[in-house]
Amino acid sequence: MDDLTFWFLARVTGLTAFAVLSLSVLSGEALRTSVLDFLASNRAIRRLHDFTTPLWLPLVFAHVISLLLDKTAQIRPVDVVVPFVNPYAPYFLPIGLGTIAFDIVMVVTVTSWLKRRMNNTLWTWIHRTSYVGFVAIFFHAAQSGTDFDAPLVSAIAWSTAAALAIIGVTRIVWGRLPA
Amino acid sequence: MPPWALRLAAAGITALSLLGSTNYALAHPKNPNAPLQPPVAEKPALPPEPSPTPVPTLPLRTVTPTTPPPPTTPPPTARATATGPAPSPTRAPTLRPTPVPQITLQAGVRATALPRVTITHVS
Repeated sequence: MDDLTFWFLARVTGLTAFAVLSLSVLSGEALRTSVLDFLASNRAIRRLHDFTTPLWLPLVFAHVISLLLDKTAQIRPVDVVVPFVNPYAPYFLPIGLGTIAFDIVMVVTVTSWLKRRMNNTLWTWIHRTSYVGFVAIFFHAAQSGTDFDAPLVSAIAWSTAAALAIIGVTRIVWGRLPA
Repeated sequence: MPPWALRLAAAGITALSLLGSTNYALAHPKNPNAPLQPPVAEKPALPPEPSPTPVPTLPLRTVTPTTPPPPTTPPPTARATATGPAPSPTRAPTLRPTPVPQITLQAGVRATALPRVTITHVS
């Protein structure tokens, strides 16, 4: 596998991971709102939310590993976990946002597996940081993604993010909507 | 909608996203506005350039005869079209039309048959 292969892998897994993570956030928001009540019960939505984790997790890892192996990206192992220390000076901010998002997503995922052993309030607040993580993912992708400059990809990404933002604000302001 | 249908739909969305992303990345190997510009991505983006037509190195000796042919010799056009009698063996190397000048006509040169160019030049 040459450098070009890793470059393509990083782009493909990044785009797909963004799509599946959007689905995960949507299903998570739907648990606290009623935006998907027309589609299925809350129990079914909860199972869908849990099911999305094994879908996006390999994509995120493949994205990170591809960038580590890609010589052009210049991502070091420390850049994966420590934000804003990457040597890619013009884009250290969006790449650092990706690092923050990776850290948040990993913490949220691990704490979800350990939910029964944790304090419920603590777990809830940790899980709510996934909203921050998704915002970081979006700006990481929009600022440093190769394909997010394209009109097609940009339109899909921005509309998806806007829809999730509207649902999130609705959740904060009005709580659970009437079914 | 049952839970298995939702999971199936999610898996389908993931597969479609993966397929669409792969097709898009392969169709757009290089984005000039992208922040990261790997030099390797330029390879598939460049179309194979055709080899330029070599500039003719041979002078148009056959179309610019310096000495007029003797009256007994038919004009070069006749020999070029092979309608006249056979040329004399002594003048054949300079007056016999070869395919090289006809193939390598440059821009601005009339793209006509070689014998006609000869006649135009002489007149």
